[in-house]
Amino acid sequence: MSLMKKQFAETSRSSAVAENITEDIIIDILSRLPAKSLMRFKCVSKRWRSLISDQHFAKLHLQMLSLETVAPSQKIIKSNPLQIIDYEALDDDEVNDHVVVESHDLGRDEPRGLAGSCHGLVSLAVYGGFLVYNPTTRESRKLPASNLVATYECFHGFGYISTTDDYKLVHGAFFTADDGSEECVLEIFSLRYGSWRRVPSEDVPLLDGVGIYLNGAVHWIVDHGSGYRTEQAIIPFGLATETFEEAIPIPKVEGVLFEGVGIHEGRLLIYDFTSISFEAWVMNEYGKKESWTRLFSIPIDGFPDHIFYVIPIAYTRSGKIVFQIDVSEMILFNLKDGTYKNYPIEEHHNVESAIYMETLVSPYIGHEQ
Amino acid sequence: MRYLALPLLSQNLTESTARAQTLSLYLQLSLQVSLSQRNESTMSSSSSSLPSCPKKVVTLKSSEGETFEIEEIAALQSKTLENMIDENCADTPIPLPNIKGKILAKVVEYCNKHAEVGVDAESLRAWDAEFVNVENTTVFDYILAANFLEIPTLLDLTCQSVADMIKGKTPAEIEKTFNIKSAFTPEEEEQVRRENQWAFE
Repeated sequence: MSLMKKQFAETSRSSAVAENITEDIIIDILSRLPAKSLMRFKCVSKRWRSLISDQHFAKLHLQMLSLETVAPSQKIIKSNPLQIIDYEALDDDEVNDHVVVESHDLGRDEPRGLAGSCHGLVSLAVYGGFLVYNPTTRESRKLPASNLVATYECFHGFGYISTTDDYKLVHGAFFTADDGSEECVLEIFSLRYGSWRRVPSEDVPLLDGVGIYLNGAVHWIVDHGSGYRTEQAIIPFGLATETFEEAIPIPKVEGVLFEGVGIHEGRLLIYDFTSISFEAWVMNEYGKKESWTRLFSIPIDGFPDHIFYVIPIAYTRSGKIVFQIDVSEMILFNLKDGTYKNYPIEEHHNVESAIYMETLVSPYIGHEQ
Repeated sequence: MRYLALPLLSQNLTESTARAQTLSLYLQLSLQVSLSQRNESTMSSSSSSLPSCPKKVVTLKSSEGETFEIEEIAALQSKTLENMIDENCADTPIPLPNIKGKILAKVVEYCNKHAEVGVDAESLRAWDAEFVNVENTTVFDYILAANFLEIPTLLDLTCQSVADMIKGKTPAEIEKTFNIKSAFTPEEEEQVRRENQWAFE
């Protein structure tokens, strides 16, 4: 009897205390939670659902993510078929030996490729246009097709502009003009304004593929020259000014031609697979070519002999490196002892992948539903 | 900037506007808290003026009337106390009618620890972890005290502790922890669950 009384007293005391927790404290607590938890907690009450769906809260949550000392929760998205890979789960020794893949269905909008990712929003090229998708909240927004006819010589990028609190999708293509010169046509879609605009573009270096977003600009690697004389550089495109900025030279490393660009701890990362190693370098101070430092050089003797595609690299929280070789395997590499584990993945020909953060940001920014 | 509780809003504001205001305020505040934590200098050195009172020790009175002494340097970590000390040069104990003695004792202990010099970051972190290694109800009490007394570091520590504790919970467990009576009808709850079903996988 006394035990029941004690338990009742404890419950009623906890309810008394919990009732005094004001909304601003709830907001503080919730803003520290991973996006996945918050999506679950939408079921708790109408108030929580309304709060968690609020874009002001999403922005606060995003800010908290960037302040966090622990790396924010990230996953890999693959474009065709649309799949999510939780690479962090690979690091969990207790879990299975295979890659856990989550398939996402966008209905009629079949993805053809990736166009960039930023703040948890992923931009996909689909038949008839583009899509901006948040794989965590599963919100997707269809964008109209740009006025450019899609060609093979096109490049894409997606990123955030803090001054206008907007996201922009960049779609560019190269055409050979009548006189034989290469012309670039550039179109930009602003999520806030909701339409495509043609943007002047002269003397654009020959870009290719998906750019990587960092600090208000999208970045591609360009090559000058050929063979031994190839010089490489990073070309940034400023999303606020909508212009290409000064090229940042990339160090010339023996036998290495960098193909991949990524982000590591807020710094630009470049990498390449050569016949003998997997090389990665980071630019410690943005814009300063002297600050390029080798991050790692992994000998690839032990790895299965395959063609290496350019895929994103990620670090797990415990410091292991995750990457993909060929179409059929993911590798989890332990830098400390040089050992690795490989995980088979489903074989698909389109290996466009990107890393994204799990956030609550809505693609409908400025056009709230 | 004072760490404010939810400001009183006029009746005319709609709930969403009120929320937008709160969140916008919170955006600024939480950034300030995190930025101030990254700042190497101590709280007391950044306050505007030295207290004019010659007293080194301040007396606090709990809701039950129990008194606790705290060194002024330690008390200055609380913006509320800082303001009260500035205004109250007399010898009277500062009444804190909404904080129980048991909790106030611990808050004093926290402020004293964080005012100590020569403590390395690693051991302070370990001490903080032990400090919040208590029952949920007690952590909530700490939150309320830290909120009222405006002690940003303690509020940060305790809110983070609650966040860590709840992140893996189910919605039902959350309702119990926060004593929320779900306003969803069973049909509505089913719909919300369906909309977000992948979050449960």
